[in-house]
Amino acid sequence: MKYTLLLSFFLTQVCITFGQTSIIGTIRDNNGDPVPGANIYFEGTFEGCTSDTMGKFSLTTTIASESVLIISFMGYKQYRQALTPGELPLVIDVTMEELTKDLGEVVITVGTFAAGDESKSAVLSTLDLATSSGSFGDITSAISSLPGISNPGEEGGLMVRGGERYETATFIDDMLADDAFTAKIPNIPVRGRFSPMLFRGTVFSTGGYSAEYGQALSSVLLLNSIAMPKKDELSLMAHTSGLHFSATKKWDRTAFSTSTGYNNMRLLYALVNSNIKWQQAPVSFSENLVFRQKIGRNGMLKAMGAYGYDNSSMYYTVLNTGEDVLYKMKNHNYFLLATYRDQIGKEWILHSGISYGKDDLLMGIQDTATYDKHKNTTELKLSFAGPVSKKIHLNVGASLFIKTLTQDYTSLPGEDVFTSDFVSPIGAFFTEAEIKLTKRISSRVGARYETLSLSNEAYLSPRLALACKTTQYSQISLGYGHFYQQAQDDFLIYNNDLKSEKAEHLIANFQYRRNSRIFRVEAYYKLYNKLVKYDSLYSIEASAYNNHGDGYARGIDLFFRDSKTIKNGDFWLSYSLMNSERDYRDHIQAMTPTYLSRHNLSIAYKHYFEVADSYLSMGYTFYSGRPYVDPNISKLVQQETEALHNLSFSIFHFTEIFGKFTMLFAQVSNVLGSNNIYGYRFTTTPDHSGRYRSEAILPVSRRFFLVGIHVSFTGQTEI
Amino acid sequence: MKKLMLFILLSIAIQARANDTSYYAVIRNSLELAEQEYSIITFQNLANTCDRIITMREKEWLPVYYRAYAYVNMAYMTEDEEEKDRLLDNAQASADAAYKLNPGESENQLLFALICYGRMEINPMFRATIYYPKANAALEKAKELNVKNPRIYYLEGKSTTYKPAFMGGGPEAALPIIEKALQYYKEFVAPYDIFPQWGEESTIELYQDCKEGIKEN
Repeated sequence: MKYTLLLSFFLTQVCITFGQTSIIGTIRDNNGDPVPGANIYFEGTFEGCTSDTMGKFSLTTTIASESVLIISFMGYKQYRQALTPGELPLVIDVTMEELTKDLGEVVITVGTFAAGDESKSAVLSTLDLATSSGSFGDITSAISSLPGISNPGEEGGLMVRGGERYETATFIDDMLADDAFTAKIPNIPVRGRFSPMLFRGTVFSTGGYSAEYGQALSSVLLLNSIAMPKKDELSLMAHTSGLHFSATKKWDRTAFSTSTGYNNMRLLYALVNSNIKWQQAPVSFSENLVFRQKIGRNGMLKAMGAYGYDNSSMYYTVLNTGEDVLYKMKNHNYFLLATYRDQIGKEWILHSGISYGKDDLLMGIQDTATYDKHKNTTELKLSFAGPVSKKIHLNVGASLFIKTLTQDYTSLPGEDVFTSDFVSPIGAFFTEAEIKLTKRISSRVGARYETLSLSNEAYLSPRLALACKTTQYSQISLGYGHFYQQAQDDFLIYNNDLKSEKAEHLIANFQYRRNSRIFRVEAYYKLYNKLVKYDSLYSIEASAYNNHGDGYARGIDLFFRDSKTIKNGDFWLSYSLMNSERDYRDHIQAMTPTYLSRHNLSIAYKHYFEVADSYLSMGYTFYSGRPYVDPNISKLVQQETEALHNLSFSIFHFTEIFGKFTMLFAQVSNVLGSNNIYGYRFTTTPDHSGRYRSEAILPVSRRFFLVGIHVSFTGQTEI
Repeated sequence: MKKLMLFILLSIAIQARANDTSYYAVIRNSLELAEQEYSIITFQNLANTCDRIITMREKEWLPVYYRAYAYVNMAYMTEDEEEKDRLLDNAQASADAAYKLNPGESENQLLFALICYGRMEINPMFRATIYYPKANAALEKAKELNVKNPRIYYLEGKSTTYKPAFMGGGPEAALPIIEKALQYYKEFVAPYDIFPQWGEESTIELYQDCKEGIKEN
């Protein structure tokens, strides 16, 4: 202390001598901790100084008139003190008042997984979607390793929180893509029609999603197509089951790309044993044309045309007779989509879209039934989004979705054709506001009104979400909403009066995210109502159908991801506990759906080896036993299969061949060769010894693999 | 005495309006400190200096430029990702402002590139696909504005050095770019003494590292 005084005295002397004044001091915060980096200066001057790591500063100034000393630092209330020359205090110790910490933007994350590279709240990257072990390039496979999703091997698609596959709707650029998955045939999983490479920024909702989207009981998958490609591209990919070619040409304000794919599973099934007796292993062809045009200052027109063809046939054992029948499937699918987005005024965005889809599906069972289905969908949509005040952001819009379906059913060759059809327009209006209630709390309040003329219905679904930042790195959120979905085509075609099915979601979420580590836990409760029930004996009679089904699903999802701890490594774990019962379809009572496992665990690890220029991805999934009814034991009590395991590997090696950027890849599933049984089918009547004979439902093949090469003729492919 | 001070102050103010180089000395001081010691504090000091100038000379490009430059450097020195992003947000805001004040200056584009590299480093798995092309685009834009700006080739050379060989990177590919940078550093004449001049020493180091890298292979 004495020393300081002495020093001050000495300094004063110096200052007076030179006509300058020194001010020294220490800056501390409320807790008494030093504040380094603060800006200390006299108002209206350039001269100033910065406090050091100990919060100390020493300001020398030539100011002589009365002035205001300012001390400022981000996150603290500015300190001001008027000083007049001659009476300048030489030592000032300042306590700065900390402002309420800006915790950063509150993003509503309840029920949402964002994938993509632009959004800071993304949980998955585009690379994850493409390179997930065992994904075989299917966008949905990568997503299905997130918690809350059942991944029954014979189904494919996305079955969310106890929901069926159809309960997840896919939207491309916010327009409903009614046939985002290939057609289903018994025991063969469906695949996503669209390549993950077409999209940037995918959002997957596991519930409680925005009022902008409807016609999905459980979940929405929002795919955002690439706005403007970054450069010209030409690439070719060849692998054990197909060939893909893609090309992109970019001009100043225009871009055009094409991608063509041909898949043939014959080679694969010649190499690995398939549990399916194929007559014609699946063959598919796809063509995607994408056009982009910038219009005016901010306008963007996106147009896309997709065509897909699938053909396969297999023998399916009818258990009652023990006979193999030939099951044929042929499908042509077309999807045309155009969206236009522009800015109106300074802050409002207009978004409009038109889409047309056509699906021709021929399913035939040899010597017996044939189904010839023709579906057309058309959608028009218009929405506006923008701020109405500093704290309120509004999104309003309307859409009209028209579906026409015709089905010609022949029970036996030469018999009469039984034609059923319907035309169903669905009009929808939605409005939703994101309201920043306080710095820490944000809410989303919305409503969707839908009117269906076919079933003569109109309903209003409220949607609510609330998010609260608890610390800079964590937040809690809540979500609630009503979700309606028109009865499935397969039922509606026989009974046009069927009402929409309904689900209610209640979700609570906690998320912690810091330094490339994410932890989230979400609990949900879902209530189903008005589910379609039918009597399977009279399934082509309208009277066999009603809306008396119901059910629930509840569970907890955990997700942890760490891409920090191990350099070039990335670990993730997802676990979900699911519990659901439903009385619907032809169930005789409330039962757990056969596709649902109670415990679902997925662990993935990816590592980039710099030395070897290789990327290794490993995944392990565990599903506890799946329920089934064994009529030999009880028709009312469900049995459980053995637990299911799958360990898979993918490796990607990057190299140069003839000066071209090349990626070699290999993927293999079920490395351990686990004997996974998905469930059992039983005969509908007992045999003479009184037993119901059964057959196990098995994976298409015990193990899959894919080996391939991807060559880019135009340099690095952006993945 | 008082009157004299007032006169000095006034004359500084008048002079400042005339050619506005009055603040150069203050920036020069802070830059020298930052050069002597590469630390968060010295760069915070540079940012603080710029903040003081900006409040009084809001139309001047240089202090806005250096503010962005200071925050980029602070971000590079910070470990915590959220903090790093926050510093880069700060740098971005100033770089945008600097671009608005002086759109024809290639140095702004280099700020954009530096910010992109910083963002990328936080989580390359997520961010490389978005920020790497953005950084490249900024470098290309800089070339359009001033093809002889040596710092363009320093950054390009650096990113090429650390890019895997199968993507057209590696020391061998980088060497000609770095040589170009060195050449332009020699030819470069700063229009005034505190005009951005960073990078030369690092380029020499990079050049040596590259040569060693080639030898090892």
